[in-house]
Amino acid sequence: MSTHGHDSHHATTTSSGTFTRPLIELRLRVNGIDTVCVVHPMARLLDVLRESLHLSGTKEGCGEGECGACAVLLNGELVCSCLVPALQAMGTEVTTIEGVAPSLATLDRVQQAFVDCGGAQCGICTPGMILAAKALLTRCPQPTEAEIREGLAGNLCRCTGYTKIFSSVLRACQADGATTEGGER
Amino acid sequence: MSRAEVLVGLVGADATLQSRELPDGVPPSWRESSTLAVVGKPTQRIDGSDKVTGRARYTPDIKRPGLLHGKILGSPHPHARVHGVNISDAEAQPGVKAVVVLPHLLGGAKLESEKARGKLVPVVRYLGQPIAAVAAETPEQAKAALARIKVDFEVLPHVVDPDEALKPNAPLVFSGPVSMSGSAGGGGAKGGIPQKGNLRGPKRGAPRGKDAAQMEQAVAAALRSGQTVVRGTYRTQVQTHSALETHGLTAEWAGDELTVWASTQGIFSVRDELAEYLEIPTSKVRVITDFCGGGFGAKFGAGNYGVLAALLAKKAAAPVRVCLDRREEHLAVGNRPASEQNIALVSGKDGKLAAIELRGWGAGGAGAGAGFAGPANNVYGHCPAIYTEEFDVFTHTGPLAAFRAPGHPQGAFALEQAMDELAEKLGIDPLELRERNDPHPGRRLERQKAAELFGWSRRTLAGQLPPEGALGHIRRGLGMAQGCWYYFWSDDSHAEVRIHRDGTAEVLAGVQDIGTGVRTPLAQVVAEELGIPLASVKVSIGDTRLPVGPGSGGSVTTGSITPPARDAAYQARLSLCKEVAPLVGAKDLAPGPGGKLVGTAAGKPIELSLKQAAAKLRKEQVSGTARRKPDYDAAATNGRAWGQTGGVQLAEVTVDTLTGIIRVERIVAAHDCGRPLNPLLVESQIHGGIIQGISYALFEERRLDRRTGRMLNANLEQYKIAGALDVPRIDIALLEDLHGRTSTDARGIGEPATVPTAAAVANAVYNAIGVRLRELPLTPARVLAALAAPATGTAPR
Amino acid sequence: MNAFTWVEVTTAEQAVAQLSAARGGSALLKAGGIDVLDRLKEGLDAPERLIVLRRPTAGSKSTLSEISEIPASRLPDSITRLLPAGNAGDAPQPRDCLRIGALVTLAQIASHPTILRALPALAQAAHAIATPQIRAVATIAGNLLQRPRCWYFRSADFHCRKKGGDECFALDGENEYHAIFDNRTCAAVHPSGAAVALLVLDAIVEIQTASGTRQQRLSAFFVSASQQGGDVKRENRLEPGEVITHLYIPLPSPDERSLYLKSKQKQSFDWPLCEVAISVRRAPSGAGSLLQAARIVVGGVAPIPWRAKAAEAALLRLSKLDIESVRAIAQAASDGARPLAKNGYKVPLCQGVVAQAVMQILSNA
Repeated sequence: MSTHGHDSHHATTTSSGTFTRPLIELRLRVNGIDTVCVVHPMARLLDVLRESLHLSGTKEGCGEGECGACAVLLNGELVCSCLVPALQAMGTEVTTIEGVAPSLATLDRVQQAFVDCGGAQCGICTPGMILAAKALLTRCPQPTEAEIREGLAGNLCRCTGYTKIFSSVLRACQADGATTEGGER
Repeated sequence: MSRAEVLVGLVGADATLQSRELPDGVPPSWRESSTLAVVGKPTQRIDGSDKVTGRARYTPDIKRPGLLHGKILGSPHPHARVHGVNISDAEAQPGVKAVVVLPHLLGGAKLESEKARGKLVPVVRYLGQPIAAVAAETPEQAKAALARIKVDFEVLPHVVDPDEALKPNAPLVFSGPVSMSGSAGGGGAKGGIPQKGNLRGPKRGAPRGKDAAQMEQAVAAALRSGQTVVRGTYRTQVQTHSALETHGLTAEWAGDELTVWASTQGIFSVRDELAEYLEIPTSKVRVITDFCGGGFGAKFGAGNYGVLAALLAKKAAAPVRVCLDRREEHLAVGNRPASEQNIALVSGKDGKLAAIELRGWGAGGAGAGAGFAGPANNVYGHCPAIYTEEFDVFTHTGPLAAFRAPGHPQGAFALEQAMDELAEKLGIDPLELRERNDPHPGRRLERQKAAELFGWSRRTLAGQLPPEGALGHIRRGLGMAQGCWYYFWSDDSHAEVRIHRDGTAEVLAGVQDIGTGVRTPLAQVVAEELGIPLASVKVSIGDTRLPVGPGSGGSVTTGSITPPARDAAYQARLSLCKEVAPLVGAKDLAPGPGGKLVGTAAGKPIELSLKQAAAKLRKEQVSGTARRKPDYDAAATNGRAWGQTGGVQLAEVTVDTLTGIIRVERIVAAHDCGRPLNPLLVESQIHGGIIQGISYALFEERRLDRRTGRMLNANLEQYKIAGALDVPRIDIALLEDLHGRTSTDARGIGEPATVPTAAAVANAVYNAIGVRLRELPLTPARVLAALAAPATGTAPR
Repeated sequence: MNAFTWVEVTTAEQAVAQLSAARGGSALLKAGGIDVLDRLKEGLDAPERLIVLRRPTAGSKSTLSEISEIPASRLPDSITRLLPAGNAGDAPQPRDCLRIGALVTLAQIASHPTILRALPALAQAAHAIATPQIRAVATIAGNLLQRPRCWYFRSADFHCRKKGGDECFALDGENEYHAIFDNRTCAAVHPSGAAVALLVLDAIVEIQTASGTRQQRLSAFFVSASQQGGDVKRENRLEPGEVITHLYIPLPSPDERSLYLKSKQKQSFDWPLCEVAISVRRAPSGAGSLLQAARIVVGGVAPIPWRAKAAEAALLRLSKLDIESVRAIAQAASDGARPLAKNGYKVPLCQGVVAQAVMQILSNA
């Protein structure tokens, strides 16, 4: 694979049929920090986050947008980072699980609710679930359980049985913002 | 040895104090959990914040300097002979640092003759079977180089469908007798069983302690006795484990020492398999698993991918990570085998079972031991005549692996539907029929509790609840099923507990967290014993440098490792007493209740908290170690108490008779697991077992193209796993079932929770529509076909 | 994935220019990319250039990512002439229309107030697709143009007719999820749920071509291999180098209703086994029948969204709502079905989903 670039970036194919790999300088804002990294233009945002930026909290489950383990917020929208080519992420604002907590010492109220209610079991689906819950609560601050199920329908979990995930999200929106640290969303 | 009173039985029902012979060095038995401070209380995971912040590091997250990426070349053919593998072109590709050919294949059944040779297996028996691997600087380079490996295949005819494999001229999967070794998750198949064509068996079975030949005759006599007989043929599909984290391993050598980070259920089984395969000393292999994203039975041992990672790392002299992709995960690392089960129940008019006969085959691809007779032999084990015959049918597909209660969801699907049918035939309520045949005290109480929670009295005969929906097309049904699992544990389970001068403690145990959250109950039992807050206990697990622990399979972990953890804490307290006694002038200082140390100093009673006592230490720490003791009352139990874990589930479903779509609306699950150490985690295990059971009942199925042998749904799109909108309301009744056999009395719950679910759903579907579905999964296609042909009552395949 | 050049554009004109073969090498258009990336990864497509149509930045005058109501008076003639006539044989009636840009996401459609109120079938169809993550990115045009999900087509291992091969592996293979209508050349079903809804809503598609724009009814847009002008390798009449720019949907009059139902095995993220959209227009009271217009389109059963004309005719004859009549209408929905070995269930399923849709829309109408 090679690729890239509107009129300024072009793949270079060598005579032997292999190709050189013109890397790109990807600029994006990740968890509030302006970031530049040099990556392959068709690298998935998932790989950029995990491999280049060492943010391994974003998980890979299927690599095809079916399981939601790699969900992140891209300009505030919940997306599967395995379906976002690096170039597509140029200039965007990305929130990963590492950027959800307001500080190292405090948890966001969704995170806290997952701890309190046992919403995380093996934990592989948890980062994606939490970001899906964050996206849902932004859109719909007081969801019903049915709306929670709809909001999480793109995130597979193989071990909790979901029930405690639903109660975690319900708990998160019941939490009193005044007394919960890091309750912003 | 000393005798002591211990509480035995179901708390709130029949628990009584009994005298037991306790081994030396164990703490006094706990009474019911309501008398305890930490144990038995719903308790948040102590590693919860690591999991919700992304800090928890799983195998694919491990970064090492100079890490290379390994990719595996799997066979594109389901059946072939390999005449040669040429890797030189691949080695010359850009970024490639090493290419290796797999010396011999791990997993699956082995020809007796092949095992003797122990060399390269030149035969491919399933598509995706690993052949070679490449390590390169990037995953893309590794993948590209795979295409440059030249394999000289002689493609052979294949068979991937069990029915086809049973035909006389079907291509043979194995040319001679085979056996298969089991894993810590169970399974395996001993040699010495007849084998003809692709059919191996029978493995003859009967209840524990009974003679199979005698039972066979007894069953035959009962079938001739003129009593009520119910017969049925049931089929189940292949389910893949589909843990959300795929199998993977990172290997790194330092001289002749190998360190691996593995996604595994058994760090020690990975270590041992690597040492044996690579012919290096066990002591030179270290396995680390901080967190694991689910395994469900398929993640024991190093696996072919692990061996390849180690070989690549050696050749490249650099760390190599091999993590499977979702397709490889479906194809080559195990599954729950398919089955066809022919069951016959014989009963008197009074509903007392006279005989159970079960014969059939399991199809675990190129693997053996695909049985299902556990429930038939055990749930109604008091039935006077029970006989089972299990066969393996081999196909050119990936071999089975242990999968959450191996054989049991399949077996329960047949047995419990047959019981339902018998109940109807005899005009007895299905729950009452179980009551008459199953004296297991746990299940007895579970039936009662579940029925109350569920409102079982609402149930009518099949198809008699009023239709719902504008077109009267929604039918509601209620059904039940029960299951069994066993009290397994590993005595090779060790723990060390250290008490520090500041009054905090550490527990070290070579177990691994596969998601169940074993760190938390370990911390709980130690905190309870020491009388300190949970937050004062640091748990170290997931490293083969720690004291040896059990693999996490067969629901053994909690029952194996928490007793030595508590015993080690008790030993550490004894050491603390010994160290502190002279310092406080109390020669008789000894462990007392609530973690306190009590004694007499200068004629007056004194009492020290652990923190107070530890503060007086003149050394850095005291520690205690313990190994899992034999079960108490060794004289009576031979050191290994036999026991069944129960489990009763009641299901309410609706069936849309126009579309064939089944919705599971509610499950009430009543379970026992000894002393539930942490009901929050136990409930979560039960929820997870139920959802896997529903997913198995309604959605999941490996789909193969018969002509090419290819899997058509090797993804998570068309391999359908239950999602958030498929979850019913779940209510749980959890028993506290004390056996007085160990210092924690805990047993596992992972497996029992998933055993009865599919059967309960199937019985509820029958109750809704009055047509019995005898093949999994219960798809709309099968529902509609069954509704169109109610006379036969059997859905076409 | 093969090697290709990534070319970014922000207008349909630029996209068409870039797609032109004259620019050198084969080219493929990507917007949300959900389906395109899937195909690239599997190697089903191997373009030399990937033309990436990005959302216009804020402040640009582009309508590609907008939903807007266009009053009849401002509707271009090219659209007006394609609007449905009030009565058969009449000239098209100017109507207020909703215009949806090609880059509008399914999430936007599913939550847009006008669509929720006036075009519920479309909102319901958009909401029923995939997952929140996918709907946030997937565009309406991409949904219409995505390739079938047939597992033989989707696997590079099977060189089927859709890829220029000479057999349909599903015909004798695993065809549980395949077509029951028009399935002898290729048994893949059309994957677009939005198309099913848009068809009952008389949508018009606007297309940018090299020489300008062209418009056509969506009902003439999809074409199966067996239909005139059909090509098994394509599912529609979008020519190479063309780009969908907008959809125009006539806004219904107060006596019109629509709805969409999807029947899926799993309720979270699953493709339909069968889906149906229905629109009806009530007859004035005193007329012999309940309805004066009806349209039923069924998805998941044919290589293109399938118009159930016999059922429509039966529905138009309906004079009173009762379960027997509804079942009779539903029976007609499967007229002409020729199921394969493993998808016979889709015949009663198709009838069942249509029955539910008819019952529901008439009960609410």
